Amino acid sequence: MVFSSLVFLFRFMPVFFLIYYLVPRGAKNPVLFVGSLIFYAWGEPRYTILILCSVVVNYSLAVLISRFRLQRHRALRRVFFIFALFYDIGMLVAFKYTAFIISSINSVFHLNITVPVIALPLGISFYTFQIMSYVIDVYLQRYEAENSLLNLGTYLVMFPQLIAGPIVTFSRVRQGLKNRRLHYSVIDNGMKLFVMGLGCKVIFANSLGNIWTGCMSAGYENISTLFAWMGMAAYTLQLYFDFSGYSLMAIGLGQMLGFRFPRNFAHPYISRSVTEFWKRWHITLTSWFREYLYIPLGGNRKGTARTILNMLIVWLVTGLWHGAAWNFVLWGLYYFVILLIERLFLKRFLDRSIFFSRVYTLLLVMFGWVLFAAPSIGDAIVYFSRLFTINPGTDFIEYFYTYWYIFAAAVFFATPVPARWFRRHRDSALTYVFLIAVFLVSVGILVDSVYNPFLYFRF
Amino acid sequence: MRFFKNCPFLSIIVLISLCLFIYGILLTAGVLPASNTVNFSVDPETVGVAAAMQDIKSRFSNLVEGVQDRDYTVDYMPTEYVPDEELANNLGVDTGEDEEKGPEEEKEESESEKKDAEAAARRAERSERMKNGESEEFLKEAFKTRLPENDASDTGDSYDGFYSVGDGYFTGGDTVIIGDSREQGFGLYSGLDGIVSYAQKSYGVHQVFTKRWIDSEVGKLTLEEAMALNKGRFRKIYIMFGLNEMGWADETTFDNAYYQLIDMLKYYQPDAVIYVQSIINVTKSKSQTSNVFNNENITRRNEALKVVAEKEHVAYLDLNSVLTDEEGNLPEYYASDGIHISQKYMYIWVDFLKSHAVLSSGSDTQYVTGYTPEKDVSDIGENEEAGENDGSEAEESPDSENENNSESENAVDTESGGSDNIEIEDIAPAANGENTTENWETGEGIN
Repeated sequence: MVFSSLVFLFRFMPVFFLIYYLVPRGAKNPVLFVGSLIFYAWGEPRYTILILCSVVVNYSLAVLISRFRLQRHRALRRVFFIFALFYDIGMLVAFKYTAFIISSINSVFHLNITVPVIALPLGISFYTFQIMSYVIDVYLQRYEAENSLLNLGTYLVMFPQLIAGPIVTFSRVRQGLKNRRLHYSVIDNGMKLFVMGLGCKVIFANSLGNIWTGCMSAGYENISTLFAWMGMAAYTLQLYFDFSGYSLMAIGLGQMLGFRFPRNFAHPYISRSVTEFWKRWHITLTSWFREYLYIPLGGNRKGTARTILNMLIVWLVTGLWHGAAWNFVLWGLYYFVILLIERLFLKRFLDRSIFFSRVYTLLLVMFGWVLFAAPSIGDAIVYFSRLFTINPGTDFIEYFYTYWYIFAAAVFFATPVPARWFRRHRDSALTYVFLIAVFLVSVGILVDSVYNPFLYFRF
Repeated sequence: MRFFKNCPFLSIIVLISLCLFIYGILLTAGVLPASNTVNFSVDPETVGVAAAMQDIKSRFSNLVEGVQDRDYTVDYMPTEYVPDEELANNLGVDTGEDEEKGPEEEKEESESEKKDAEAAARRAERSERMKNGESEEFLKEAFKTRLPENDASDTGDSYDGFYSVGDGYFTGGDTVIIGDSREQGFGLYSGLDGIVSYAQKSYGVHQVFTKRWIDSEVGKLTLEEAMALNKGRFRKIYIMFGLNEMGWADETTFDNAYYQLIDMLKYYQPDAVIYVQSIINVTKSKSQTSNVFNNENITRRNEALKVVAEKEHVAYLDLNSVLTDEEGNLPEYYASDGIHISQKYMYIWVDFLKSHAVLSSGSDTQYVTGYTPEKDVSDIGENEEAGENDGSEAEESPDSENENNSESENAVDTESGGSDNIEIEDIAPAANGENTTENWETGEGIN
């Protein structure tokens, strides 16, 4: 189920929250657990078993790790820990990367091994990272292993962040799972955030997506230069509103449940360097990689050469995390190179400028999205060739006339201005009218579009 | 109650949703009359709210644009198009009081109220007879009485095969394409100039009378209005609808809307050959991931479309015969998104249309490069043959040019000579007797 679907909005959400608010405190976690499983199983019931296995395996191993904490059991602890990591990463690799690995081997060694068709379990990249953060934290003795299987299960399958983030670490919701208070004002604010997220997703992302789909369906090799630029800009905005809208909905739902989820996006497109961009884009993922990969590798404390190597590893993995294909690897390498250059000397100059640095960042990020969105590296090269050669054509005009106002509004809403206004006028009548209008328009659009794909859905 | 006081925003949203929900229930239960009778099944699991929202939206747009939705739910049969008199007045277009008409229709024109009652009675009678299982004889009977005799657009039973033609067939400014984003893609990337495109992304067959989007000097027009404004201009009309309508629960609604579209086109473009193009299948990966947009559903819809085309006596073009692989899937490399054919492979579609042409007027003969006698041409081999013919055209150009000239002169003669159109019956080479037939045969003789 997706948040931006009529089934979720008008069936799941009312029924679930009605039960959730009515049951006594002790029954809230079981309700949340069962409700989340229904949410997860709605479209693809067969992989529900996989996420439940992940809960049980990691729960048991973490309890064991926690129990053998004495110095003389160090080896045993390590065995359990490695087994947990092996299981989590193994499952992720098996279900997400098998086809990629086999087809890569085939092309390198000119073999003909059959590539298996494995449907990607929903949200496996997200929940695997969440549970890994828990096991690692327990191993590093940041906190005790959770004694209640139900609580850990509730944490992992909790529906707001289950399929597309934000990546919430266990430490963040640990207290809340045991004992949380529901405040009326927080619930109400959660609903506002949810409606805002819904608007981002349905009004902006879905309609801007049509422009990019237009580029795709025309075929990259046919589009005019202006259409190529327009499509790239549209995709840039679409991806942001799609993903940040989803995160916003998740945060809002979290507040309605009584949890505080971390912020995932902080207006990334106003960044003044790519380094800053990655501090504002998908924050929970970047901080996960920093905390659980970059710093354990040694971070920047082991000399320049080692730092560069660590960065390379982190960005290759980041690329691969986003998708099992070579263009994602290239996309990761692309950011590695840019971030390295910025780290070595460019950042100093960028920090001094206000306008140029923003143009520079936005352009580089947009080119990055072309690598990201293209079905293959060859397609990306074709797209770049359309961007930088003169190809006259009128194919963009119709899209421009249809979508220019959404474009303009989307650009405005990508800046921090509306968010700042909202923070100041949370309860003003104007906010209410605006958000109710957003809700009605979103539902109106949803009723029309049978076709509502979510970009980060299959990650 | 404390909840409502402390969570004002959530309460408002809940109230709105509740209102939508109750309104939807009342609508679907038939307690309240719905403004939009098109049966949208956007999401069958939430149909209450969806129906309510759809209804509110259509009422709202009716209010703003002053457009009335059409009713597609009643049983509908071909050739019942009634021109909108108001539309005619607004546009200053002659809807054809002085047009040649069957006597029955003329009578109906003059007494529109009586005609409405008659139509209703006819519909009632029809649905009655359909129920009794008399459909086939009944249809035959209906066509005998209702079809105008000299109607060039009725190609269905009267064409025995398709001609192969050159580019010129399409580029004379009298070709129009109507449809959704895929047809739009054809207009943009087919490489054929001069085709008028009334195709747009997410355009649906139910919107041809209501959606104002076509640019003109007099403002945005619906397809109906555009056709009225360009009355008699078009000779070849290619239609492709169906993919956006896959989600509709009621398939007869789709058929009914299609019938009304074709009848409207026939009325305003009496000389045109109308082609109903099959819905092109999607790729295997697309088909597997969608329980709505899959090839099984598309095939079912295409069967229905074929029936529509047969009943309307217009040409049906099975594009899937050349665009899909042996399993009936669109090859993955044809469409990067699984749906829209990329320019690289657009030529297959173009070639198919070129090898499946019905001649609409005498001047079309000059483009003829071949003839395929089969009625249902789905063999790829024959298309290849057509391609060869295209190539050989250049070699024989001196001869054929001469002949072409004489033909077009003849054609002009016939046209000025009184009979407005060359009847399709005459196009078929087998038919003989009249002057024009010889010209057509010479046309065939080029090859």
